[in-house]
Amino acid sequence: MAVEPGGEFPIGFSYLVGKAAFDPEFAGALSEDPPQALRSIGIEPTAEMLEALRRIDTDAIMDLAAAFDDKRGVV
Amino acid sequence: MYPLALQALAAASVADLFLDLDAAAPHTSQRIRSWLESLFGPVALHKVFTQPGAFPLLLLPWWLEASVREPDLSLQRELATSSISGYLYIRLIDNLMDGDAPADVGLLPALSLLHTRFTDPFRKWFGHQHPFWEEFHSIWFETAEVTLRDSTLDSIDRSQFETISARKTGAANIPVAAIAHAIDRPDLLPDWYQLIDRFGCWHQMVNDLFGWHKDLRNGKTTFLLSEGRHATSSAEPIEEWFSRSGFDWAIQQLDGWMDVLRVLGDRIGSHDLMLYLDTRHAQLHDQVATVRSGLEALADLGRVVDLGERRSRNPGEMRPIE
Repeated sequence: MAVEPGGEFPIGFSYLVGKAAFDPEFAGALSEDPPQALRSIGIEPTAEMLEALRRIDTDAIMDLAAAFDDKRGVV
Repeated sequence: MYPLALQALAAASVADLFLDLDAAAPHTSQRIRSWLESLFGPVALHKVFTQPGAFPLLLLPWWLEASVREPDLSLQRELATSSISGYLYIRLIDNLMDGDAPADVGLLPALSLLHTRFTDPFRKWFGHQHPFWEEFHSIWFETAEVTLRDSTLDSIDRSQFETISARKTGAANIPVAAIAHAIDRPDLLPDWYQLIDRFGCWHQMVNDLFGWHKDLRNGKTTFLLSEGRHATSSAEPIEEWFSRSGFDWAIQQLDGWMDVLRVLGDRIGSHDLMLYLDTRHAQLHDQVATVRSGLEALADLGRVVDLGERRSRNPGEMRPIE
């Protein structure tokens, strides 16, 4: 579900970007333990939310975190 | 990307440097080792300089010499020791200035040793009146000048990026100038200087791109973040701009510089250089695909958890990013 130019982002997207980019533990938890990952950012997951979460490519979020982490310390 | 001979030579150069430092100033040498460990962890220093994403500091003079003759390993080894020392000299100053990476003001006296090791081969190879020194001074002073100017900018446009920020890597021209003079081919330098100048843009933007959120968090000024601030309204977080169009904008800039680099590389006529550019371009675009998929998945996640609604209902629940 890409965001088209001019389309709307969900509120809190900036928070998620920062969290995913700089907290690999959070990104990993999204894949391994989604309810706990959501609780860690103050969200009590509903059954509907968890069902929707299963359709999200959480591995892609983990890879994103790794991509931003990859350049640290490079000459 | 790095010929085996150059990899071996880089390892030998690091060994040379620390053998020398251990003998001349063991306490300082140990402090430098600790600082390097805090920067690069367990990765051996010579591998830091030969990893695929590193600035091609050791490759540039190697390619230049290889475009004329078989590289002289003893010359290149001395030059690599110099380049690594010069890099550490600049990195220590940068870390102290930026304050966002490990560094200790107590290390400042180590700068003397690093600078001396940086200039050692040049003093050995070139007499006082040699034209190399004019180039050395010009490059070295400009690098200091642009580094200082860059640190004072509170917004960076394209022109400032190309003439100031991206030229912080300009000291890489020095080993290239040294090898060109050492093999009596200073006529080659203008093309190489142009190449290094454009590669500096590409390399700096890659760093700004993959470090964009860290820079945002640390309040650093970069061309990418300046573009984002100009392109967003006060209500739109810069993260949304980055995901919506900022990331693609940065890739467009990078691809533009890469096109120029290929033209310059072709003019220089180094097959290894062209291969290197192709490899770096392909590696970048592998990462582009990864980042795009990740940003799309994040947007999906944002919709699922409907953070905005929850935050407005329970404003105290959201914790700040640590």
